[in-house]
Amino acid sequence: MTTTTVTGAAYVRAVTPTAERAQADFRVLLHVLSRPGLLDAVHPGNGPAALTVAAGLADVEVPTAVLTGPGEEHWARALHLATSAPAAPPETARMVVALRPPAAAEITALTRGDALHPEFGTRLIAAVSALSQENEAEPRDEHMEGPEVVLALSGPGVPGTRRIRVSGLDRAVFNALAAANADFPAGIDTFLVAADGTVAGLPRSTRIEIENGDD
Amino acid sequence: MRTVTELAGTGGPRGIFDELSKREVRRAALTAVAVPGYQVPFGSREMPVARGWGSGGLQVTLALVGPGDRLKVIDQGEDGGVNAANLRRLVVGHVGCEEETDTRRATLIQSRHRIPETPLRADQTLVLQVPVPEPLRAVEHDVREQRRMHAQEDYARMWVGLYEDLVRNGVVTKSAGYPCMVNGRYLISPTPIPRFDVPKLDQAEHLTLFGAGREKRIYAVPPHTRVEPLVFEDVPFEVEHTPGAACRHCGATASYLVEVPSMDGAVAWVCSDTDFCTRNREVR
Ligand SMILES: [Zn+2]
Repeated sequence: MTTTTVTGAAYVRAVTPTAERAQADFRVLLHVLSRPGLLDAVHPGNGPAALTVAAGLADVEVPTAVLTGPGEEHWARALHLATSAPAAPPETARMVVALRPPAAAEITALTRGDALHPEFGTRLIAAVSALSQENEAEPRDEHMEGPEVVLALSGPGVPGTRRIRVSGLDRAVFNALAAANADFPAGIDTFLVAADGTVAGLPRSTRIEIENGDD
Repeated sequence: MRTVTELAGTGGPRGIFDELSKREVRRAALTAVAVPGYQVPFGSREMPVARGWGSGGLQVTLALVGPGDRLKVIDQGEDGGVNAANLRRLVVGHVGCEEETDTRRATLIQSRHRIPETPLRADQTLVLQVPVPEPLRAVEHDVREQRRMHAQEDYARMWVGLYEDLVRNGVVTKSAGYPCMVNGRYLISPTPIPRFDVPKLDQAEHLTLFGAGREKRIYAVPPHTRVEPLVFEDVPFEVEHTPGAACRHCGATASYLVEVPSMDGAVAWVCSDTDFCTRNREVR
């Protein structure tokens, strides 16, 4: 029992950003959400980078769901403890942190708000394996393991089109996201966060086209 | 946190703006960026500044600012005004960032009446203080009806209002806070900036955040986003310009000029943007 408590406290510490770090990371989030397709990086912490991003924004007023894979449940507990954000099922949460790849159906089920209340749209923070800038559509690198997609992004914040390559989420997820955001101003605002802290913003105002990837 | 209470004269033990308040403003600002032009509600706090002087802008600035920032604050176009200087010192005392007046070196700029003449870059963020965020208030007083009109993109009455102004006065008289469409979807009031500054929001390099403290709203114009003043096809949008006017300090004719009293009774003009004017004098 004692061991569990001590370990739990270590996880909580690992996902709790200092005020200064929360501020600096927020500026990074603001920068990339304002400029879809540009990449920047949040500070690498001791826990999953996606979780630290969420911990900087959550508090008792933000019902939050953490989607975890097997053996990752302690990170969900740590986030709720660190921020006082109440646990909520993904379909009613204001913020959803996907430490494992979400299923397309899970994306489809998220709250989008409506034209009277766009602010009720879910903030989704999704962990990915890697993110990189892409100059133009290129064929898939056959040596890559796991799903990889190239997204062509346009809309507010983008002069013309920007492309990013995303490893770790398959195209069905982005198809679901594009469909969920088809009814602007309702929609889902997404941050993709790579393990190394690289982050990209996909606000609901962004038009997402998938240029390659596995079905 | 340093002794903010000394500077502000109020604020309580956690200083003028606690971490939870910052988080709420940060979340609202992110939503505002994602839905350009939509007025996102947030729980505005009482701030230690005079009513009408920028509590909304101040809360946005405090949510954004960090020790690495160089903060510029202007009142009208001036860095040196009492309000601007007090607000700048308040924030600097709170966070320990640098004070800045040179637009080119500032990372964060808070303003009420002007957008600097020097074009802003992608690494700079502009925070505008908004006294009246709701452009529809001119034609509709009921808040729920305003919300419905925004939700359904029903701006017909705004057009009627502009048309009536045009018929009555021969021109659209609205100068400050001229109504604009953001990304072809939301009508905004760009706060009391003159029409002269409206084109600086269109397809800009920088992000602009608008903070309204009394009405508890934050809205945004992201970079590379269309901002179009409401205009009739046959009546072009014109910015303020007085033919023949030139700044008596630097000679500029293309900057935003304001009239000043002169000793001999003749009309004299000066740049409203004092930082621009100072540097323009050095160039000459
Ligand atoms: Zn001048």
